[in-house]
Amino acid sequence: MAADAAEEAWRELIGSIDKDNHEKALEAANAVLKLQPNEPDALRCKAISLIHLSKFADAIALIKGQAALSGMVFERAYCHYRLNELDPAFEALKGLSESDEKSMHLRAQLLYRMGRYSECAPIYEKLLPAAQARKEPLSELKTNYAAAVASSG
Amino acid sequence: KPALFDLAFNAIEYPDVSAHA
Ligand SMILES: [K+]
Repeated sequence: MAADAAEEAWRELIGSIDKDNHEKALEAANAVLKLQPNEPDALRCKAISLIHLSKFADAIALIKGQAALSGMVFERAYCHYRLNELDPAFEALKGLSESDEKSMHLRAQLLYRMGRYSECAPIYEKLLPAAQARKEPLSELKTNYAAAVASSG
Repeated sequence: KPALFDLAFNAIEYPDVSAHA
């Protein structure tokens, strides 16, 4: 029965996510979407699976093509960043709040790649205390901050 | 040259799908 098949596909999807098996998660998301077309959570899972599988262009196409995924702005920006499509990535991020840490971090990385060093240095500087408070390793942020400061001369 | 971060990537998480379980 269709309901059982959908339940089974969801079980497969949830299990695959738990195991970080992104190939299987993508397959399972597709299986769910065959039975429940445009199901928003399944669409989100499919987009995230594509990103984890480095299928960035596919992820962008999916996110752009589905109204239910219009909130995945950071993810879309990140995909463009990974494709080295700096302008579309930056454009996408403009719609997001400055106070969102991951977006700030991505914006700093983009500005650095664009050679806009004096603009990215203060963003790295702002990110350091929050990362420190979470007891995260800081080496990468510090490296990027130092590089930005050095390059902004 | 800055380290190529993947901190943003770490933040890319699957949605909470527990309601479907
Ligand atoms: K970088």
